[in-house]
Amino acid sequence: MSKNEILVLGVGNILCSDEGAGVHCVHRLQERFVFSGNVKLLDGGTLGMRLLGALQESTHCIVADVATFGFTPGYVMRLGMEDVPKNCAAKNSLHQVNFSETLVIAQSLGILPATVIIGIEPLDIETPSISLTVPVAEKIDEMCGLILDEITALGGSYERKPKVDVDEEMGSGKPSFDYDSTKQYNNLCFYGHKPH
Amino acid sequence: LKIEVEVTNGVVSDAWSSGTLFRGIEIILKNRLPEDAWLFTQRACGVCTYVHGVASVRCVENAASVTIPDNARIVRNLLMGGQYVHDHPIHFYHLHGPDWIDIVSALSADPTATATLAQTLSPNAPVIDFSATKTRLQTFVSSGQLGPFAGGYWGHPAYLLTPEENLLFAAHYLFALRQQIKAAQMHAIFGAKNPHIQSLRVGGVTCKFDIVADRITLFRTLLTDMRNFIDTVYIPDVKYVAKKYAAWKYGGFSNYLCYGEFPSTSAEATSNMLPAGTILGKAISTINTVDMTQISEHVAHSWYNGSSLAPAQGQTDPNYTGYDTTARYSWLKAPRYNNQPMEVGPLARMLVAYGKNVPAAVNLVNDVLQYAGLTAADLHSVLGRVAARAIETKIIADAMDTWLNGLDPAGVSLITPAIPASAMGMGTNEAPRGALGHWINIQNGKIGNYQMVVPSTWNLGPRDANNVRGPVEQALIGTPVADPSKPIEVLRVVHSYDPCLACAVHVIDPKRDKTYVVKAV
Repeated sequence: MSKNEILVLGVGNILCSDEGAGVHCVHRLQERFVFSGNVKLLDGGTLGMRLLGALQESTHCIVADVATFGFTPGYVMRLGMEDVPKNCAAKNSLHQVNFSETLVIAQSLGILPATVIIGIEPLDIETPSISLTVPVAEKIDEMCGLILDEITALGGSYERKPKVDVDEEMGSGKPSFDYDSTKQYNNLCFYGHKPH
Repeated sequence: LKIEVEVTNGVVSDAWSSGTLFRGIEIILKNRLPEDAWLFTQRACGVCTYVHGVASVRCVENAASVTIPDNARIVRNLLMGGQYVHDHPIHFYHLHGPDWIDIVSALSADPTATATLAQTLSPNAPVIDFSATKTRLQTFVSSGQLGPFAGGYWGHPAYLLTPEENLLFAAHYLFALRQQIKAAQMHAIFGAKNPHIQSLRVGGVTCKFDIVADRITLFRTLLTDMRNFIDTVYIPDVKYVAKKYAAWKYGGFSNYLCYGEFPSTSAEATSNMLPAGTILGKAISTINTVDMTQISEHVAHSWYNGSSLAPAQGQTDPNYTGYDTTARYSWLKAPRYNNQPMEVGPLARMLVAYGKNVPAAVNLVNDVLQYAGLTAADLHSVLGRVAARAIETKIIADAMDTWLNGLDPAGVSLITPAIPASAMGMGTNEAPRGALGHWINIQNGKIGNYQMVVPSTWNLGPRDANNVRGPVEQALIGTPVADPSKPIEVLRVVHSYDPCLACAVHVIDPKRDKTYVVKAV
């Protein structure tokens, strides 16, 4: 195949704590890096079947999402399609089509690109909050690192943006924070909130 | 959504429809700018996304007494039309289809005989490799995973199609999934994105730089593809299903309300392609004028404080008291027209258009009735709703091709109206699911009160202050249920209203003192 379009797709609901971890990854990558023309970053939210079009247009897909396998919260994993459950039911509302079902549907249509999933074990995917929990927030950089490795392996490239003032990037109300991904921030979490 | 039905001697004897989610958007909107409201209201739904945007800008434009430019009117019609062309086929194949089509039965089909059937049914339909489709289905089943088809009532006696017919429709199920990608792409041309388009503004649309020859051509290419699909796959399939299930005449209602849609001139509402009207007591020959002052929302059985009010004066004052079918049992209010429950949606629109002798509607409705061996009286049913949805998809998609010719690349597409400091406004439209209305009360240039009366509250709302059941509650009564633990017949009725909420069905069998809970099948 002549084209080599790499889709980085973050999915999840950012209103439900760790549920949005994949979307937070995509946002962080967009904030910090400039990518080559064949790399497309997409905040897929909870769009479900509406993501079939984006999948169809790509040759490779790197999905960032939460994955509940019962590991320690914050455990980061690399998964393949064989790990995606296929037990999606016939639906009575498009609201109910979740992302793993969308992947299976795309596969059954023969339009699924070569797909890897960078997943993270969540702590809390129910509490309404736009913050991640501490153990997940601490691992967003690790997920981003794995995604960048995948991009490189697939023939994409990226450059780090000059350091930006986070206040400017994120809009109003946030404290300025000079982020350095080489440092460990064990007690200070940019997105984090303490689990109750 | 939770539907509770009582089954007596194998027939539904009573029903309760409960909205299980609270929508607080009206409260969020208070004290915000009227021209910002549409960005919030559009988020009322993640499926039917455009409609709450356009209802909102229309109600502010109504308050500001604005006439929008022709380009804006046409773009809005194309966006609304795109919503129908996207949503209706999905409803038929992916949401309602498994109520009629037994996917597992397709595994015993003869692919060659299926190809012959496909050729007979629709000679110009895209050629499909049925053998490959069957293999794909078999792979799912053999792996113990039904993929998209797990959880159905496969093998239920209510399924009437042969294995070959089931394989044909299973193949079209997959085909329609690919088509909806194209429909979404078409919507994004003038909408900037899909879902949740971004090109609306009070006073028009902002996609001026997309109103150019090559974008219009791209739209037409995708539209032509959808029209071919509608003509050679969707319409023939719906006719065939109607014919095979012609004896299943359940799930009808009697009153209908349509606000009208697709204005063809700047006179807006008076020039709608699909006319407004009401029908009472199944009397399709008498189409009454819609009097918006007759609308009120009852809350006697809903979790709200207050009494029955017109939407312009409506209140959103939640008060959850627990699920109790003898008292309050829904987050949906109960909208009424002249104190009558009214069905809204495809069947209401097509019956009003049929009664008003709109030629395209009359021809297509008669064609379906003749093919299926049904009469006009049979339209008050689940099958009537299924057929009306397909018929209007064709009428609208065909009209969209003509509307494209009216776009003027040199023309104005947005004006900036002055928002009055204090005014009332009303904006209506016909969403794919039915009549939608937004009401705004502007005070000191801000939103003093905002109310939305949405199609699913009309159709799925609870009993009213006079204890009269809502449309779906009435439509369910009399439906036969062969096996209370597998109430596919109940799902057919509920799904025919295209509920925009996830649905759980509770079947109560008082004779056997048993309750069956069926979740989201």
